Amino acid sequence: MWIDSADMDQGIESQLDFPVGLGLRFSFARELIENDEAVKTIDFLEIAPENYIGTGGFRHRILSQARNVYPLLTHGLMGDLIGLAPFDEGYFSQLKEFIHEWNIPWFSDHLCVTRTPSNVLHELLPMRFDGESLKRCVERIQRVQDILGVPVAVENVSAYMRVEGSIMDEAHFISELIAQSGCQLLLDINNVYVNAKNFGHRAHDTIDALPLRNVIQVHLAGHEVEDDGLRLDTHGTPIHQNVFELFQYALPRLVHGTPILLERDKAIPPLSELLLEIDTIRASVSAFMRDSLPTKNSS
Amino acid sequence: MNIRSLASIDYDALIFSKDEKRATHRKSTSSTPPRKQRAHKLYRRMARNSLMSVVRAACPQAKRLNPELLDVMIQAFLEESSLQEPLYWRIPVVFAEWLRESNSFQHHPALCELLQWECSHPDILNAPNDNFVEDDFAPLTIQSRLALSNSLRLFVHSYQSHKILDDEKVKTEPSTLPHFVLAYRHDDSVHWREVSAPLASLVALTSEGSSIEDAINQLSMSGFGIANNKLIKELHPFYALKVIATR
Repeated sequence: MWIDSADMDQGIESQLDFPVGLGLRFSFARELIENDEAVKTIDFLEIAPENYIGTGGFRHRILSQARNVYPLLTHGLMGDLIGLAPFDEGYFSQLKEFIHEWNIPWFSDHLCVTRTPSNVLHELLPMRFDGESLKRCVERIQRVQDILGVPVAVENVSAYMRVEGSIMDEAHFISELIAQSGCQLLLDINNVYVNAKNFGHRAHDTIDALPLRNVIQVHLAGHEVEDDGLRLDTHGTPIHQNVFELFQYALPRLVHGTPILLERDKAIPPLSELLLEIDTIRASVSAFMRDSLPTKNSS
Repeated sequence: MNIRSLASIDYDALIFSKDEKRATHRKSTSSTPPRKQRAHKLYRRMARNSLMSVVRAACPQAKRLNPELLDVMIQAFLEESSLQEPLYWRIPVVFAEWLRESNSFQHHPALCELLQWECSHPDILNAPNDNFVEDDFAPLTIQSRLALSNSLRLFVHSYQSHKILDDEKVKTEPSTLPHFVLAYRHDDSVHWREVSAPLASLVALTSEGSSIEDAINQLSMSGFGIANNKLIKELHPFYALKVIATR
């Protein structure tokens, strides 16, 4: 599995089993494009399409320049894949145009409430996990897949409360959703960990319950802990050691070639620090690959 | 199926209700876990901070001049409007549109004009690129049909908001005559030029498809008397910057 790199020279597919990328942020966009060390270290960039759809000027130019150096993946914010609001034809029409213009291989967005019939919320709010929600999600995702013409993936989100009326856990809901809609999973390891801590269950159990063969991409990020122990998914710190260990636990069951992304949105450090963090992820992946080689050869 | 039946939280009220206590304790009873109430507050705070900060960031002068009133205005926008915009960067633009149609703050005309001006900047800076070609810049004549840059916007200012400086206070008196301002993107910045009333009218008319000649005829019928060559001369700087072309 890998993103379409047909017009890239790197030949990534043959060289890297688990490409490691970084979320593109305006604060370091120019450095990413011009810094040789960054170009050597980062295998792909992930962008929020909402930041670029319909734009020209600086945003369009940055994206063009980035595309010349890196493959791009998108990760949407306000697609409303759970279908709580009426289908936004205009948004998905623009998104489709964007995805095809920039040669994006798939589209992912969050499995949560981002819109209501009355408002776009610009926040990721928890949803109810029940049969009725599942039916609507399946219908919405199939419609989005038909329109976009590329695979669609849902991301498991962090949450700070459960919604009344939920009759299944998130992992069960996601498994059913994937089975019924044919969508893929963007596995956010940090969110699995944050939810496990906030709701008092084992993160490893969630990993075990999720359909890891359907993971199309992985997110890694940091979080912060409030005084009362509540974990906030802020993307404002380096990856916690426990999250990293959870990633290593999941890694053997991921399909080789699954892109792994480092996210950082708050308290963004110098790019050199992010590159070191990417190196750490890559070293972990390389160690796993080395260890798994005999198994591969013998099979 | 009732679409609302999917939700067991009133998400709109949670984030957009004016009354925070009511929004975050809506269905709470004595047995509601404090952690859930805290989560409600947390979501409300995160969503509202995010929405308010993108507007505040778009209007630094308005924020400098009257931060308290600006926050009151943004809160009113969140609580009174139905936010349908999925693109985060466009929220200031939507806020300005709401402010233009709202009656709530008309007694602050200078600040409203400044907000209209500052909040238009993301729209100008991010406007789609123009697809002009060299042939679109043939010598400008009276027969030319103008093509306007996607980033070009016309403003009519009473308080010269486009000229406000970092150490100025809020203007209290409007100018005797309105100021017509054409703003556009150049080198990743918003630039502007004041123009005459006839040129502003001509730009407005040609944006609807009229040729310069047709527009001048319409202006003459409206009582504007202006020499053609003067109008062409006034257009030239925009033409040289390629924010106006011919078709």
